[in-house]
This record gives sequence, C-alpha cells and structure tokens, in this order.
Amino acid sequence: MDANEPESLVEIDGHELYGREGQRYLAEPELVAAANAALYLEMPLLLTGEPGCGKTHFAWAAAWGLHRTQAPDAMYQLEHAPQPLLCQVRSDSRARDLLYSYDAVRRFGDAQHGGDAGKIRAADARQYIELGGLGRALMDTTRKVVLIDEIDKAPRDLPNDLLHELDVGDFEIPEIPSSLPDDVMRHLPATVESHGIALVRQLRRPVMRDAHPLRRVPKPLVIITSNVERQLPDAFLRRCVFFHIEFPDRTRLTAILLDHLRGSVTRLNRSGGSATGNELRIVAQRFLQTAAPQLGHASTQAFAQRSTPASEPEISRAFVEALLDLFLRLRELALTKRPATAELIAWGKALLAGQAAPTHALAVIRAAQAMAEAKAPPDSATLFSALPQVGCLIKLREDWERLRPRAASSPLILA
Amino acid sequence: MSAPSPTPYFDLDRFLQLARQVVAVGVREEERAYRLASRERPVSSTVLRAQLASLLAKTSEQSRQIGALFDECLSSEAPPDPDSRSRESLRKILRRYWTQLRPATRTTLLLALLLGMIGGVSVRLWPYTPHDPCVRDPAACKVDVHSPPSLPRPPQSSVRIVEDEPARVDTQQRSEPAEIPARSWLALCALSALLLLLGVRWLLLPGRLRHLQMQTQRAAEAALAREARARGEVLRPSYRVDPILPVPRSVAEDCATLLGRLRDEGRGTDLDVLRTLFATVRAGGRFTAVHTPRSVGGELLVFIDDEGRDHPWLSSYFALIEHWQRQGVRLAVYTYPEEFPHFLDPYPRVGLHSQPLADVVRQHAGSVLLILSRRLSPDGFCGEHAWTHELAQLGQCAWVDADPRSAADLAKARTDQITRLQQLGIPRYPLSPQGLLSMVRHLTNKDETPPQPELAWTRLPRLSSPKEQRALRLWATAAALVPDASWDQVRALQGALPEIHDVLPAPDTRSLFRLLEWVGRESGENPESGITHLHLSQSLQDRLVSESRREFGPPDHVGSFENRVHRILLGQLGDAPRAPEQQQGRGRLIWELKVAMHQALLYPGRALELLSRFVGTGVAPLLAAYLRNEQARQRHSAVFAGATWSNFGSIVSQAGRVSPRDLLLGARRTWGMASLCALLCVSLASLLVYAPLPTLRAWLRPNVTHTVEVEIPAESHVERVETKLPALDIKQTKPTKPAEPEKPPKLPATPQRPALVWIPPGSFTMGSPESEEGRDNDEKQHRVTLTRGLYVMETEVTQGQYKAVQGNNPAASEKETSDSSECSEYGVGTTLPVHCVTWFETVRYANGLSMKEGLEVCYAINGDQVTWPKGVQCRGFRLLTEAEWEYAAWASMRTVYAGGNRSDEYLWYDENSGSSMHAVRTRRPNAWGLYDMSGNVWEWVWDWYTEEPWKLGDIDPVGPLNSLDRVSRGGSWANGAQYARVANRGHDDPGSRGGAQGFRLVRSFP
Repeated sequence: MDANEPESLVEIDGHELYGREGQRYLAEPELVAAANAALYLEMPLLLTGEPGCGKTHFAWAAAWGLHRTQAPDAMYQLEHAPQPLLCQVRSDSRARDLLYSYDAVRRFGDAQHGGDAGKIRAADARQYIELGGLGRALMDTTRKVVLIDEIDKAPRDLPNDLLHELDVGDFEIPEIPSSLPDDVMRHLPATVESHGIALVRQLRRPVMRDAHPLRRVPKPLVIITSNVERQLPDAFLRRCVFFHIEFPDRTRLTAILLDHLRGSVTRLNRSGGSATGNELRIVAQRFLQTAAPQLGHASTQAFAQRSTPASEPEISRAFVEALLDLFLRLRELALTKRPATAELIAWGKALLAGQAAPTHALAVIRAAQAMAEAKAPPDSATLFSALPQVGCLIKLREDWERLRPRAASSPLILA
Repeated sequence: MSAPSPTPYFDLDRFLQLARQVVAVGVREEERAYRLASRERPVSSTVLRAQLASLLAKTSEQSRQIGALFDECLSSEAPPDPDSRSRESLRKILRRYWTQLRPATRTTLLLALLLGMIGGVSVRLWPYTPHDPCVRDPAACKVDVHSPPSLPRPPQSSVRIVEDEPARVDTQQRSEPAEIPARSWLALCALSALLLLLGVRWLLLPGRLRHLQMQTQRAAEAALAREARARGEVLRPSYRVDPILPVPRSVAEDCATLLGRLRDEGRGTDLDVLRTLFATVRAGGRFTAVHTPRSVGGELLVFIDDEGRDHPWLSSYFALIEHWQRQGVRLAVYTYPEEFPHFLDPYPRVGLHSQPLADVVRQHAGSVLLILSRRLSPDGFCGEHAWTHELAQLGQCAWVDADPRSAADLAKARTDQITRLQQLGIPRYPLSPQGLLSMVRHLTNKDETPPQPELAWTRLPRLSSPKEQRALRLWATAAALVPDASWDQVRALQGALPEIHDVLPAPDTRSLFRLLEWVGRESGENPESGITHLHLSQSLQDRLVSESRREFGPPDHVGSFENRVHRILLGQLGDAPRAPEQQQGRGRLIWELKVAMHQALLYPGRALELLSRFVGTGVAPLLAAYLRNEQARQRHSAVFAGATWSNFGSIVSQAGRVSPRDLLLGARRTWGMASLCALLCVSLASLLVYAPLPTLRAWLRPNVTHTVEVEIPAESHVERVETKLPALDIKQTKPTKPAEPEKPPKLPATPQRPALVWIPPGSFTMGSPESEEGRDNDEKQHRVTLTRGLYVMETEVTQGQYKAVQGNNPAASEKETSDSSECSEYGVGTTLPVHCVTWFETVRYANGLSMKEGLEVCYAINGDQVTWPKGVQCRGFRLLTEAEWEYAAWASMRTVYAGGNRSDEYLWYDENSGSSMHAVRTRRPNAWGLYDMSGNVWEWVWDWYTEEPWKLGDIDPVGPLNSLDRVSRGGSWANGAQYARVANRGHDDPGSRGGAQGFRLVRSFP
C-alpha cells in the first residue's frame, strides 16, 4: 500500500484538451472524472472502446491536462507539447520490456570484438540497460503519463507480471550484479544513467524532497488501452480504474468533425463562385430546410459551441450534417466492421481534399437528401454506390459486397 | 457519508451494499470508494457517479448498472446527524457523563452522597444534649455575685479575715464538649459500616470480574497456542505478513550458487554399462570401467538457535533456508530449543526425534557447519562443555550472529569468548550481505585463501542522528498500533512506510537492532545489555500514539501517519481470513473485530455501528480493552465524537456489568475480608467517639477551661484578702524531654587547630540513592555503624594553624601542584584553608598536633609507609575515616550537600566561588555545626580508595589495606556542585598536591 496523496489538487480539467496532432480533444466528462479518480487513487486507467474512438489520443490529452495543472498559464504549442511516455506492446512483449531493456548482444559484441575499451565497458552491465517508458515514468521526480497501448496484444502473462510494479512501483534489474570484485569496480564509472535516472539493481521510486511527512512522488498516470480481444485477468482488472469510451453521440460527432475539418470546410465555403458552387448552395439550402428537421439534426447550438462566427455558412453546415447522416446510417447496417470515428474523419478529409471538393460535397448532400426523402428504408446499394471515397469507411471485402451486391462489375470509385 | 453539495445526500454504505450484488466489492474497493467520496474538495454528484462507476465496474454494462444504483442512493435530504449537539438538556449531559464513569467511581460517589446525607440527617434529627446541668438549665446555676456575704465587721480589729470568695463562673466562657447520645452514633456507625461493606464488595467486584475474564481468556489463548506448538503447527496470525529474507534476494541466490561448490562431480561407484560397452569395449576392444558421475561432497549442516521461538530473525532464517533449498542446496537443519538444551531437533519437525550433538555430528560427518545464533559461547553448547572437540569430524565451521555490533563494541568478556571461538575454528560473521557472502566463501573454500572475518564487520555508529531517531520513533509508533505484533509484522511495517525505510534500509539487521535499542532506551532499560525483546509498555504506547496524533493529525485525516498505518494493516488483513481456523466461529469473529477496530479509527463517524455488533459476543472483553485504551489516548486528541463515547461508555460498562446476583453471592473469602474490615471500622468509630472507659474518655475529651474572675466588693474593709482558687489544671505548654546524658562541650579554637565539635556515635546510610543526579557507581547505599563519639574539627585546618604547628605554609610555597602551577597562586591567607598539602604532610601535622596537646600520637610514619597501630581507638588527632567523614557531613539529615540542598548557601563551588578559595566559616554550617564539609577544599581522609567500599564491613570501616589512591571528600571551590555532594567520593595519589586539596582532623572521645 503506498502513501496516500493528501489533498493536492491534481486534477485534469476537461476543457481545452489537445490530442496528438494538436487538434482539440473533446473528452466526455465521465472520462475526465475517471481519469481524475485514477490520478487521485494512483491506479492505472484502463480504457476500452471501439477502435478509433480516441483511446490512444486521450493519453496526449491527459499529458497536456496534467502539464497544465502544474503550469496553469501555459499555452499549447504543438512542438513543445508534453508527450506521454509510450510503451509499445507487441505480441512477444514481456513485462520486463516495459520497464527496461537489456542489450545482451551488444554486450557480447563489445566483449568479443571491442578491444580493451570494449572489454572494460562490457564488464559493466549498466551500460547496456535502457529504461523503458514505464520504468522511466515510475522513477521520474515529476508526475508523468504513461501510455501502454493495446495491452491485449501482449501475451496474457504481461498484465499479471505488471501487478507488483503497478502496486508499489519499485522494480529490480537482475542483470546488474549486486557486488563486483574490487579490481573491476575501480575501472567502472560510479553511476550510469539512463534517461537521467541512475541505474542500480533495486530501483525505488523517488521521494518528494520538500514534503512533510516524507512521501514518495505519486505514481504516474498509466493509461492502458485495450481492444477487448482477450479477456484481461481479474487481479489486473481490480487494480485498474475502468472506462469504456462509447461511440460519441451526434452532437459530439459534429463538434469533432468540425474540429478536424476546420480548414477544409472554410475553403468549401469560399468556392461559391463557380457553377458547382452555386448549385451546391442551392442544394445545401434545400437540404437544410427540408431534410434537417426530419433527421433530427443538431440545432445551431452545436455549431454555436465552437468558437466560430455566429452563423456558419450553410454549405459547410449542410455538408457536415449530410456526412453524419450517411455515416450513422452506415453504422446501422449490419457490417462486419463498423466504421469508427477516425474513419469518418478520414473520409471527411478525403472528400474535401483537392479540387474535387465541391463535387464530392454535392454528391454527399444529394445522397443525404435522397435518404431523407425516401419513405421506405433505402436500398444501400443505390445509396452508397454513388458516394465517393467510401473506401475510407469500408475496409472489408464482404462489406463492399453487401453495399453493392449488384454492382460487382462496376469499377470501384476510389479516386 | 454525505456528498459535499448541501442539498443532495448520498448514502455510500447503502450504495456499496447494493453494488455488492453487481460486482465484487472487497475491503480494498470499499476503502478506495470511501476515499473518493470523502475528499475535502467538493465534487458534483455527476463526477462522483462517474468516478465510482469507473472504480468498481469492469465492463460497460456494469458501469451502467452501478450508475443506476448511484442514482438510487442519492436522496435529497440528509438524515439527522447523530453527532449534532445543538441543544442538549442538562439531563442529557448528566446522563452522558454518568454513563462514562466506571462502576467503581459511580459506587464511591453514591456512597459518599449517602453518607453525607445520613450524617446531615442524623445531626439534624438528634440534637445534642449536654450532661452538664448548668448548661442544660442555666437558671439553677446562677450565682448571685452582687449580694455581698454578711460578715461581722469589727471596727479597727486586727483580726484578719480570710474570706473565701466564691468562684464566679462566667457561663459564656465555659466550654465543654457536647456529648451526643450514644445510640444515634451507634446507629450512624452501623449504617455507614453496612454501606461500606456493600461498597467494598462492589468495588472489588467489577475489577475482579474483568480481571478474571481477561485472565481466563488469556489462559485459554495460551493453552491454544501451546497445543498448536506441540503439534508442530504454526498459529497463523490474522495479519497476512510474508516472511522477509534477511538479505536481498540476489545475495541469497549468490550464496546458494557459492554453496553449490560444496558438491562436486566426482567418480561414482555405479558402472555405466552402456558407456563401458560402447565407448571402451567396442571402440578399443578392451574393458575399461566407466562410472557414472555422481555428485559427492558434503552438505550444509545448520544449527539454529530457537531462543524460545521468539527470536526477531527466526522466521527470516527459515525463509533463507527454504530459499536455499529451493535453489537446490543440500541442507540438514537442526534447531536447539531453549527448554531442552541437550538435544537438537531436526527441522521440519517430525515427531520427537531429538538427538544429542555427538550423534548429529557423527551422522553428518564431512559436512560443513553453520550456526545461526546470538549467544554462542565456547564454554557450553547443547549441554556439553567441550563441544568444540566434537566438531573435528566436520569440515569448515562458521557462525553467523544477528547482533550487528562488531567485536570491538561488545563487553570484554564477550569479546574474549568470540576470540576463543575464532581460535577454535569458528569465525563470527554478521547477518548482512557482505557477511553472508564472506561466510559462504569461508565454508566452501578449497584452494582460495578465506577472507578475514573481521573485514565483514562494520562498526555500528552510535544512535545519534535526529533523522534516525525520528524514523525509529515512527517505527515504534507503528508497532504500537498493531494489536498483536510479530517480528515479521514489524519488518513489514518498515518496508511499507517510506519515512522509515528511507532512513533505515530494509532488510537490514541493524535497523531492527536499532529499534530494540531505541525502545529499550525509551523504556528506561540499559541498552548496553543484550536486548532480546521488544517490549512496548502501555504508557509508552500511549505516549507515542499521542505524539503522533499531535504531530500528524488524528487517524481520520487522510495522509496522517496513523491513517496510513491503519490502511496498511487493513490491507494485510485482506478481504477474508486466510487461515482455516479463522474462517468460522470465534476465529472469524476475532478477524472481523480487528477489521472493525481499524475501520472505526479510519472512519469515526461509523465507529458506533461497526463496533456495536460485537457487544455481547465472546470477544466483548477484547472490545472493552480496546475502547479503554482509546479512551486513554483520546485525552490528547479526540477521534470519536462525544456522543459516540457516551454510547461506548454503555458498551464498556456493559462488558463489565455487574448483576445483583454477582453482588450478593461471591467468594466466601471476599465476604470474610469485607466483613472483617467493616467490623474494624465499627469498633474504631465507636471507640473514638463513644469511649466507654472513663480514663480514656477523660483523655479524649479536652479539658474544661475555667476562667475565674474575682471581684472585691468596694465596701469591705478587709485588709487582706487571700483568695483561694480552685484547683487549676496546669497545662503543659512545653513537653519535658527525658533527661539527656551530659553532652561534651564544644572545645574552642586555638592558634594551632580549629574548634572541636562533638558528634555522637550512631548508624547511618552511607551512599546516595540511584535517583540522585551526578551519582557515580561507587556510591551504593549501605548501612554503617560508628561506635565512638568524635571531636571533629569545626572547619578545615587553616594556613595559620598549619604554620603554627609545622612551621611552614605549603600554600605559600612555590611548590608545584599536580596541574603544574604554583601553590601560592591559589590563595595565601591566615584564615584560608591550607592547600597544596600532600597526604603525608597531613599525617605529620596530626602527629605534631597530638604532641603539642599532650595526646598520644596516632600514626607511625616510616618514609612512605604510614600505619596507625591503634586504629580508631587512638586518643590523639587523626584523619577521619571515610565513614566518619560522611557521617559527620550528613549530620543525621538526608540532604544533597552537607547542611542543606541549596548549593549557594552551604558551600563554595565553582559557580559561586569566583574561582578562588574562601576563608573558613563563611558559609552556613550543617546541623551539627560543621563548616565547609561540602565545598571550599577537598579534605583528605584516611581510607585507601576502593570502588566497592560496602564490601569491607559495616562497623567502623577503615577502608582496604592497600590501593593506589587515598580518598578525599567534600568537593572544592574549583569543582562543580555534583562533586560537593556528601556521597561523592574523590581519590588522589597521596603524594600529590592540589590547589584545592586541604584536610580536617578528628579526635576520638572518649
């Protein structure tokens, strides 16, 4: 049992979080509450959810949020943004690899072929040890965020082996011998550091220097993401704060889309001069007046939340609404792999890229209009066959077949 | 638990109860939920909902369910707070205090009240009627004074008339004690005796009941423990503590690797048939025997000292042994328990196969021996004296001592033993990583030179650093908080609390040793002797806990030290009891009680409901003891609120509740004792007041005082009036002392010697009590009798007097003192005491003075040899013996300095003397009129110095026959006040001169 953290107000504020590429990360308040609970209780945070729902990006958002609690007046800059410490988990990872890695082969090479200097260096195991992400974060004197991505890729032993380190936070490096003969010790440097942390056999978490009573630095915020491919062991789950990121609702989707497509959408608005642009405006107006109320579109509030001019031009609004309608309808179909938020964003970006942006936008709005006007449930083939860039959403062959069962001969429009 | 927002109220307990149906909620989850819900910073209910859901649920479905449960438990009104004390009527307050009192206190209060009431009532109802008729009926006693007596008055007669004037009694000034009628007093006495009887019985009862209950419970537990031990089981404590290795695991593994060198691949005796055939016969055509290799070599024989199974490192020894066994080291382990010192028991125990040492050694001939003990000595082991000879059949031997002090820090006798053991081939190693590695290298060396065992020891620095002291104090506080502490528990606490294991690294034998030293010092034991047990007395525990509460806050503050320790202990108790005997029945109840005890301190608001369910069960005495301890500690910081205590008071008193049946029935002996007491009281009371015997009554009653006024009538021509007064009681104001024998007078001073004061013979206690400040070890108190009276010089011999007898003044000479300065620097003057005299010069002065006064000479001086043929019987001047000096200084009082306790009034010492000698008779004398016994200059006495004078007899002791130094007493102007204590003994070379060294003589009388 570790020292409880007294009432220090380390809490992530849910507003103004930024994700990996510098875009806004809109976190659910429950997710922020769960992250704060994990911070306060010094437990890891386990995030599950569909692929592409923003689990991994939350680590960057949390890093920025934690940084901001320590420096409240900081402004976000992409180049100097605080990064979480990444622990790459592979299918053959061991728990030890998250803590440190030991390069035995290089040591052997130095001993064999490195000459005298190499032999001397090879006598010291510490030169060949590098602390991994979790090891660095545990031994750091400030509080960091660690991201262990997709832990269910790893063998099942990995979460079990991490239990002690997640509980206490001290670990041992057995490769460093506990005692060496004196004549060898004389030639070796006194301390060897890896990422600024002195390597000894038994690494303990550092102590907060000016704390009274004496306390250890609080454990880092470990964010563990899982795709729920494998069931995680129970003892591990009990040590985690768990949160399942649901698929966002329409309002949030709108906000997310607008965040990502900010620049492209503005450009779309300015294309009103050409013929396509005029037609676009007309179609957009008609769409907003007729189809929007039926499909339960978000009111202007969703648009007004963003720090944008009060009246978003109609083209962009219609485009975003249409995109969302189609996307949500696609999700309702019984596909093997449902499209996720990231794919939606990719689709949006692909549609608005380049010169053909107004054309694509036109096609999308028309399709959405058609879907709204159809009385009967629409035929997916007709609906989606005309859509451009659907390859961003549909990734599996059987899903393609399902969407266009009769158009197997027609070429796929991928451009 | 209430949510911080004022309007909605969240019932956390109910929530957790409902949540148990959805997810598994163990103790740890509960504790975390409480921490989340009880943060000081207010959180909104949505945030709390999300946090609790994410804490407890493991799938999204569970999160939803738990969210729904949260909403259910969120209500809009708060229940009445049981702790609110807004308006409490006087009756409630009284009732609260009443329930807090113990039954004994209550009884005494009631008794006192009743006695007072009865006394007042009786005084009121039975007014006293004095016996004196004059007081009862003043009219009958009136004496008419104003009518003069009628007498013939002859004119100019020479007859003298002697008249008897009647005594005039002034009724107002007469005082007589009132006699209260006997029967009311008797009634009062009887009633009070009866109440006293009942009260005594009641007083004896609850304490006794409680005492008996605790005794029987302890006896039962001890019997259980003994049974389990006899069966060879280990009684698992409730707290789950893993045994810790005494050294880091890497070191243990290294040792195991090194121990593997004990076994070699050697030639076996079995023929390897296949290899013989194929490799040799078929290949070479010749038969060459090939044997299968077999590991040969000795194994490791280990003897472990049990020390009554309460050894701090015993479990870690076993952990180390098991670790080695798992690594594949071949071991044979024996323990030698304390109760059967002649036998060694194999470990693990199988039946009763104890064997004597010789058999064990013979069985394992050729092995190496490792002894794990703290008290190994070459004189005896396992009941045999010459045990080291038995070890000839074994290979190398080594000994590991858990005591971290190196040989230089131990007592001399022990160091000798260690050296002897080393010479016999058993070197001593510490229980540290370096020590173990050296020991194993020593045991397994074949060709290497073994490392020196002394190098493995490092000096243990003294316990002085404040950081270490603080860490030890915190560690002792943590140990004090555990209800049943074990050695593993103490070490686990060290490992779990960063304040401690940052300063005192674990696992380290020195840390534990330090803790024992510190606790021993705090409890007042002498830490130099071997500390073998950790005993935290109740007062020490209370003190440590109160200090911790004062410094860090009470246990319900998150982050306070006590809070963290309780959480650790809760974690150790786990979610469910682990041992099978704890899973049902009384064992389970005890486990639950321990959990509740910790939780009650962490969440005092729930303490009542947590603890009240144990009332009336078999563990109620434990609960009552725990609450009493807490009550003692609450004086410094209240953890439980007042209303909770009032309820607890009823619990505590319920535990020791007395029923009327218990009151009236009971042991016959108690009744007998109580009735005897009562009888005594009755008789004493009636004796005092009723007093049937007349002489006794007369003695008890104060005397009648009569004041007499005589009035001479103005008309009377009587010339002479002789008044005859009635007999007056002559009151003795001064009690006459019994006639004392004649005391010899004080002899006045002469130019050759000071005045002589007579002191009587007698007995006294020589030495000082152990509590006196500045006491040395040679001041042990013992009784001494002096059989002769003495004439002691009133002051020290002055320089003028010395010069008058001897003709020279050594104080004014230029001789060197023992600190290489000149004598005359220290003061020259006629009334200053002579200093710079050697002891030989004093003896010569004594002889000279005796000759001058015509008395017999006491000393026979032959160069450096001085004898006194007649001893204390000598009639001339001589030095005092040490006992005589101290007797004269005490003057039958017990003060620190001669005369009194105030150093400034009675003596000259370094702080008030202004660094110079002073004239004699300038401070106050002692009770027998002797000046400067303490202070001014040291005074030579006759005795040789020995450290233990009490061994030399107690009637007129004269010191040992020979030694290096002579004793000098009394302190001086140059030394501190503690040297001027009467009991302080100084000693010096008799040929040395000192600037503060003088003397005083004595003459026997008669």
